[in-house]
This record gives sequence, structure tokens and C-alpha cells, in this order.
Amino acid sequence: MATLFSIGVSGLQAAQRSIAVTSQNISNSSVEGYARQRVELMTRDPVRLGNQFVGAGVNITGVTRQHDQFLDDQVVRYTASSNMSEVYSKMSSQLDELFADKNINVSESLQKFYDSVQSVAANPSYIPSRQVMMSEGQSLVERFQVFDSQINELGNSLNQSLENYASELSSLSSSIAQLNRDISLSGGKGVAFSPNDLLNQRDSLVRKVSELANVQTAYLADGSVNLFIGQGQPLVLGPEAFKITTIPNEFNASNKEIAYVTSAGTFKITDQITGGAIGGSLAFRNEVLNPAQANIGRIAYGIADSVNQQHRMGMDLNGDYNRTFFDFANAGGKAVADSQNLGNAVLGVNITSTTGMSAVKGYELTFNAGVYTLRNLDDNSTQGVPGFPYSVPGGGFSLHLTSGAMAAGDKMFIQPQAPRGQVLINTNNTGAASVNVTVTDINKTNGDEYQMTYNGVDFTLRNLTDNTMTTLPGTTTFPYDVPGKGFQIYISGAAAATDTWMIQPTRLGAQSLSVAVKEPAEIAAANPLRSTADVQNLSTATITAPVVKDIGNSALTNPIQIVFTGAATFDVFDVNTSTTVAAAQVYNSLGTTLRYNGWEVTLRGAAQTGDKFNVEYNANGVGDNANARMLADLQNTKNMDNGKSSLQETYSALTSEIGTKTRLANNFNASQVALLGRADAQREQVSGVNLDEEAADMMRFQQAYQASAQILVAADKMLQTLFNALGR
Amino acid sequence: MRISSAYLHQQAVSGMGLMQMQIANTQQQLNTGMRLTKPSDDPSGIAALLMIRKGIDTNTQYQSNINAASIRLSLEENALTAVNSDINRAKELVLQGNTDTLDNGQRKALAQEARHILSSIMSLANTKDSAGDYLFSGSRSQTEPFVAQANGSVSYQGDEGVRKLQIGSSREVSVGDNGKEVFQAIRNGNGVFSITGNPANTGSTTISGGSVNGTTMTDDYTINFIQALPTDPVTYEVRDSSAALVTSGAYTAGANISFGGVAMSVKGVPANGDQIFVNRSRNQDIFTTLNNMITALETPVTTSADKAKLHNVLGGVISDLEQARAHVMQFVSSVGTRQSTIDSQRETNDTLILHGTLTASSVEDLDYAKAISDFNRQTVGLQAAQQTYVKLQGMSLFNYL
Repeated sequence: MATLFSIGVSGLQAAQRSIAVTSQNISNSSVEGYARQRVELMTRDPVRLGNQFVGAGVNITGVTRQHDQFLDDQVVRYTASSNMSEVYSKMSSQLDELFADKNINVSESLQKFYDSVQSVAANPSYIPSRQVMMSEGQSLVERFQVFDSQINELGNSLNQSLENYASELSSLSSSIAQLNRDISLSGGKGVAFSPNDLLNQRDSLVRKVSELANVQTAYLADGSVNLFIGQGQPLVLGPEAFKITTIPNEFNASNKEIAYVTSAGTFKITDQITGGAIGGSLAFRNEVLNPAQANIGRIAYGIADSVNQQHRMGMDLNGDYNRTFFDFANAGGKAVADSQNLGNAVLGVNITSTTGMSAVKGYELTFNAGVYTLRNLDDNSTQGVPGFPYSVPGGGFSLHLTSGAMAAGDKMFIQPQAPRGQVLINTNNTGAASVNVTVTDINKTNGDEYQMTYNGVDFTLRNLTDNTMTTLPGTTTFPYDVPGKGFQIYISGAAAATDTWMIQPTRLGAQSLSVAVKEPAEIAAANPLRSTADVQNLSTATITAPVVKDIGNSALTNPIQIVFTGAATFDVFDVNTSTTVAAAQVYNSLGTTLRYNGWEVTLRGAAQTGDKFNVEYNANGVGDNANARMLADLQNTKNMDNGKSSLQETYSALTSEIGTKTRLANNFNASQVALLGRADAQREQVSGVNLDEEAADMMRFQQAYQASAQILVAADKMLQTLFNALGR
Repeated sequence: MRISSAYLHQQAVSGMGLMQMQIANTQQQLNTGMRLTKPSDDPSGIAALLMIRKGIDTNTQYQSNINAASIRLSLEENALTAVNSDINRAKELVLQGNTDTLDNGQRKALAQEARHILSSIMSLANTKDSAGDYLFSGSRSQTEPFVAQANGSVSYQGDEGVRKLQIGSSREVSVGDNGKEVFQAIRNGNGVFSITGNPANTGSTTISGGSVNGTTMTDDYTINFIQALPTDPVTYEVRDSSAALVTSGAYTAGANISFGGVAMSVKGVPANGDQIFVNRSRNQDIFTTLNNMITALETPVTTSADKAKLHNVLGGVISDLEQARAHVMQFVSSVGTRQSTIDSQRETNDTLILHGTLTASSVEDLDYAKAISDFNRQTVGLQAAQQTYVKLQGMSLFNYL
């Protein structure tokens, strides 16, 4: 009878516990990461009665957690990759929408600017057309600046998120460490005493960590887990948690880097972190945001520089020429060799004054009879140059001979307003070297950025896009022209070994632009020179309009007369000095090109002795639109990507590249989400709670409970029967 | 296989979320009428689209250049046509004045009318366009091109600039001609050479035209008439600009004299020492020609030598005027050609704009039929998902407990 009672009670207990676990399952059915629990029952050891074994009831051996470590790990892994792709794709979409926004994107403003140039060409002396061109230039500049500040805005919010992510990681790591301690203290080894709910909590926190970054897990025998991020940096070791924080980037303090805090110090681990929201943000910054800003800058520099180069060639309504349309903040300078130079000298210009080169029109350097002469094109004052390098007094720049030598008669045009590159200095640098970067040929730039390192002997330039290395020997004469990249580096002062710099040739482009032209009359629509055929000429030979080849030539506007001394020969006569400067030049009636004083004309047709042609300053040529037409032509000129694309095409390509990256990120994200979904489904098959199943279990255990209770009732009744019989 | 209830719920909800996103996307397309709302919708399409839009805008700009060009060219055409009729009237006056039946007073009246013609052509040559720019002053568009000097001659203050405008992607057109080209660079005589009598001649020779054998003359010549004694036969000699003898012979009235590629006949009775100059044609502006005409008509004629001089000068003026008329007509027809060029370019540009708009539309515009059918399909899908979700949520064993 006693057995019957104990069997009944054991059944009751088993059923009760099972119902308790079932209700735990039901109440946690919607808790994320909850793993279903089950009561493990085992038949009690039987009792031997005589030669028979009689069952003794049921024992509860434990409550187990239904999970599969492999499936759990898979979910953690896919959580990291899908979160990474999600953050990446969300951020790219923001940039994508910037490019789509008609009120922000550059394309439309660029078109309007060129249209306004065409209007000036149609009516060169009409002030309202010029006013429109000025204000379209201004709005183009503003578009670039708005675009650039939007990109900066994205960068700032990215930095803010990195800080949040880092502090979240730190708090997660300390929570997990605490749980680890609790788990190991509750002796997680034995199945019967397994702290299932603590384990569930901990595993869902591990999953939260993987939402932020890739994490490696190592489960220990006592039930605790070790977590590692990056390349094996421990985040949690048993009950011990490590701190993650952000530190300012060594080159640019406003950019945040992920760092690892140890007793020995704080170490940057940004480059080692992949996956999760942090990995996604970092990848977006490196792969999309930075290149986008560099390329927007490159396009801004491209537009401004090409317009400037052509604008210099023209004459404004005030009769002035060699002036720019756009200005660059903190502009550089460059030396352009005349195409007729016989020598092979390559000169570099380094701006030494914070206000840039003092002459707006630049300088002309000539070499004659062993003497270098530098002429200020603003006021025509001259000074001797004893040799190189030479710091020009009051000029705000120094001249350097990079290679070669000038031959007698050679000329160099020292041009102000060259686009300047950004150089970021590592805060840990100990040397005193100052580094300047000037974009000398925007056509050759491609948006790449570089890190430069000094090893005590040589400088090494690492291209951050393709990781190619260029070595600048310590013996280099600066400025150094980076081959094929369109920019030059000037280093002065002593660098210390391990000093590094970040070189971003075009990053500043969009924000550094401004319109230089202050009033409509200053737009240079006309050719500064004109050519005329003498009205008394006997022949019908013709002369083309002069083409300015060297606007920095100080004798450019001197009146020159071409006098035919025969049908096949002519003299070149300087009207100011009344001297023949070139006699008996050979003439071919099919076309002879004469280059003189920085201009070029072509004469054609049968000539007769005594025919005269003049090339002179285009005084009062306010109706001339020659230069405005050349400016308008720039819209279709292939002057970017080594002459392969026009500016508009470069911008389209950038738009399309951002679109492609966003689309790829979206597609990748979709696939990662699907993979995560599948991993989740597999895990849910094992660990998830099905309410119908639980309902069925509940009914089953309820019935078992009722049945066990009935056993007790039966046993009681049997006992009563016995008592009644005995009591008579 | 076990399906966890929470997973089932989450799957259904995220499925519905996805469908709602698609519906929102389709709805945005329907609202804007655009298939492409951001670059990632179709990265290569958007790049093409930007270039197509640029093409449309550029061609639209060319169209407005064409309008500006067309206005200037019709102004020029009007001015030059008026100059042409002025020259024709001047020619009629010269032909009238070149007869012996008129007296000095009648010729003066003709000269008076010629002065009006001169000032009419002057003012036509100083025409301004709507922006206040002079039409014929080249690039010096704010400088009055033709100014009368104290001695009656007219000087040109403009330059040789010709304004050009881009009217197509590879087409530029000159939207004007400078005054020097139009009014000054007119070859005198017959275009190859001009014949003038020395004003000091005392004989009564008149020259009747001349013809040219080649296309060019390489020197200027002088014909000297020699008659040492009144009884001697008249001889002539032709000398070049360096006074070297070219040819000589006995003078016969009306007979041809040929040298250096020219042939001409001289009539009348030359006096000893009379000279005829045969010069290569030079540029002579229309105003000089008219001034010559006025001077000749205003000079009183008394002697036969005067008469011969009058005929010689007016004869020259007739050919100079004919040169001027042909010269101006050449510009009128050139302007006409340019007008028709820009007209055809205007059509080309219109076609390009239309084509660009159609292409852009096919890239970016929404196919409404497709979008609406997508929208219907998506809403039906969402509805089905919602209904099954509600059904599924209702299905629980707990309902039966």
C-alpha cells in the first residue's frame, strides 16, 4: 500500500513539475532567444518483493534546455553579417538619396552654369547675361558645399554611432561576465542543476554582441563562455569583462576609431573589426563615404580648374585678362613650362604665405644670358633670381628646380590658384617636417588617397585604394611629382622616423571653392588679341584669329606686324620698337603658323609683296565672344580621367557608382537576412516553443496528474475498505 | 518538424512588412510618375539619364542661341538689302550723269541725291541690334564703326572680329560680318585691275573697259602717250612700276593695247604727256566710290578734256559701284545661306530634343499599366497574407480547452 502511495505521489510530482515547465515554456514563448525546456523523467528503481520486482514510481532527473550548439553559433555568425550588411545598406541609401535629390545634386546646377555661359556668348556685352553667369557660378559653388556638408553630416552621425556601439559593447561584455560568474557558481556542470534561464539570457546577450561585431565564442566546461572580437582580442574571459571605447583618429580628431582598453593602454583595433553594425559602419566609411567625398572634390576641382584655365585666356569688359573665375581657399601654385622651351627644366612652386601668392596674375620667369628674371604680371615689376631654391620676397612663395635646366630664352609661367591637396598630420609625429600637396593636373587625378611614412631614410607613399607603394628616396628634390597621379608633394624641414601623414589630393575640392569674379564686367568673354589684314592688301590671303598659348607672356599684347617681302617670305615687325624681330620667314600659301609673344596665328592663301597683317591688343573688343564660346565648349571637353571623360560624365559615373554600391549592398543585405532567417528557422525547430505542442503537453500532464491523484484516491479507498473490515 | 509559434508569428509579420514596403515603393512610383527615384533603382540607367538630360538641356540652349542668331542675321539681311537698293539707285544716277546732254546744274542735282545715298548707307552701316551693339563693328560692338572725317572720307573704327555662336553640338555659325569686310574690302575696277586717267590729262582720250587674259596681275602699269611735235604720229609706251618699258607702239584710236595679261582699248585724241594708269585692283570702300562720284558730278564741265575726264571718272565709278553691289549681294546671299543653315539646325535640334525626351522618358518614366497591375497584385498578396495570418492566429489548441 505504501508503494501505491509513493508511486502516486511521484506521478503527481512529475506531472506537476512538467506542467510548471510547460507553463514556463508558454509564458516565454515570445522571448527572443529563449530555448524550450523539458522535464526529464526516469522510472524509479523497482522494489524487490520476494522474487518479484515491483515498480516504485517515477523520478525527475532534470530539466533540460533544448538547444544545438552548432545551430546557435550559426545564428550568432549570420546575425553579425546581416547586421553589417544592413547598416552598410542603410547608410549607402542615405548617400544614394543625396545623389537623387534634385535640390542637392550637382548635375543640374552644372548644366545651368554652362547654359549661362552660352547666354554670355550670345550677348557678350549684355550685363544681365553676365550677372546670370556669376550667380549660376555662385549657386554651383553652393551646391558643392551643401553636398560636401551633407557627406560630412553622414560622417558625423557615423562617428556618433561608433561611440554608441563601443559603449554598448562594453556594457554587454560586463553583463555577460556577470552571467558567466552566476552560471559557474550555480555549478552549470550537472544536467540536473543546469541554470537554464541564465544560459538563455547569456546566449541572447552573445547574440546582441554579434549584432555589433563579429565575435568568436569558446564554451567552457563550467558553462561560461569566452568571447573574442577582432583578431582574438578577448572581450569576455569567464567572469572578467574588457572595455571597448572610441579614440580620436590620429590624423583627424573628429573621426572616431574603435579602441581596446587594457591595463597596458588603449589600442586602436578599428582595422581588425569586421561584421556587425561597427563593421558595416567602418566598411561604409572606407568603401563609399570617403571615395565619394574625394570624387566630389575632384569634380569640383576639375570644373573650377578647367574654367579658370580658359578664363585666364580671355579678356573682360575692363580690358583685363589672365584672371580666374573661381577661387580656391588656401590655393597652391604651379610652374607651367612654355611649349617652346628648349630646356627640360621642371620647376616646383611652394606657397609659403597663408594668403597665397601675392600676384593675382602670377609671375613670368625668363632665362636669358645666364640670368633668371622674375616678372610680376600684376604690376610688371621685375627682380633677378640668383638661383634655386629661391624664396620670392613679398611673393608668398618659393621656387624650386625639381629637375633639368632652363635653356636660354626659356620661359615659365608661375601660376597662382592651383588646387591644393589636404595633408593630415599624425598627432604622434615627432619630426618638424611640413608637407604641402598641390594638384598640378586634375586630368590625371583619380580620387585615390595615400598614407605617407618616413622610415628615417626614405618616404613611402601607400595608395589606400590598391595598396601599391611608391618610394621617394630621401635624396629626392622636392616638390616631387607623383608619377601619373597629377599632384606633387613638397616636404620641408626634418621628418622623424615613423612619422606618417595622410595625403588626400582632392578631398577639399567641394568646400574650398568660391567665385572670384566680383562684378559682371570681370567675366572674360573676349579674346585679348585680334588680328587684322591691312585694307590695302593686294592679295586675298587671310589670317586666323590669334590663339593665346601663353597668357603669362609679358609681351603678349605688343602690336606686331607681319609684312610680306615676297610671295613666299615675310618679316615679323615689332611696331612699338620699330624693329624687325624675325626676317625672311618662309611662307607656304597652304598655311603657315606663326608663334610669337605667346600667341599663334595661321596665314593662308597666295600673298603678294607688301601685304600686311597685324596682331594687336583687342582694345574695346567688348562684342567678342571667342573666349565665352571656349568656356561653353568645356562642357563637352574630355578633361578628366586622363582625357577619357568630360566633367559631366565623371559626375554621372560617380552617381552610377554610388547607385551600384547601394544596390549591391541592398542585394547582399537581402541575402544575409535570408541566411539569418534560415539559421533562425533551424534553431527554432530545436529550441522554439510551439504553443499547440505545449497545449497538448499540458493536457497530457493534466491527465497524468488526475490519474496519479486517482491512484491516491484508489489507495485511500482500499485503505478505507481495510479499515472498515477491521473495525467491525 | 517543429514550428515555433513565435517564429511563425514573426515570419508572417515580416512577410507582411516586406509586402507593405513593396506597395509603398509602387505607390511612390505612381505618385511621382517616375520609375527611377534614386540612383540605386537603376545605376546604369541613371548615368545614361544624366547624360540624356544634359543633351536635352544643351540642345535647348542651342535653340535659344539660334533665336539670337536668327534675329541678328535678319537685321543684317535687312540692312544689306537696303544698301543694295541704294547702290542701284546710285548706279542709275551715274548713268544719267554720264551723258553729255546734262548741264552742270542738272549734274549738281544728281550729286545732291548721291549725297543722300551716301548718308543713307552710312546710317545703315551703323545699324545697332536690340542689345544696342553695332551690327558692323566687329568685336568693338560699342564703338560706332563708320565715322565721317573732316575731308569727307569715312573711316572704320571697328575691327575684324566676327561673332560666332554654337548652334549645334558641332556647328558654329557667324552671326554677323564686320564692316571692314562688307563696306571696305571691295575691289575697285573690274576686280583685277582699275584704269584711271591722269587728272592732269589735256587730251580727250576715253578708255573703254578692258579685259584680262589671266587671273592676276603682278604689277601696276602706266601708259604714256607721246607726240613730240603736233605733226608727229601719236605713239604710246607702257611702263611698269619700276619705270621699265614693257611695250610700245603707234596709237590707233579704238585699237587694243595689250600687256601684262590685260587688253584694253583707248579712244579719242590723246595729247602729248597724257597718262593712263592701269593698276591692280585695290580695296576701295563704298564711301570713297560715292565721294568720287559726287566730286565728279559737282565739277563743272567746260572743255572736251573736262568731258573726257568726267566720262573716265564716272566710267570707273560705274564699275566700282557694280563691284560694290556684287560684293554686298554676296553677303546678302551668305546671310541667307546661314539663315537656312540655322533653320535646318533648328529642326535637327528639335528632333534631338524630342528623341532625348522620349529616351529619357523610356528610362525614367513609369509604365502606368505595369505599375497599376503590380500594385493590384501586391495589394491582393498583402490581403491574402493578412487573412491567413488572422486565421492562423485563431488556430490554437487552447481554444478547445
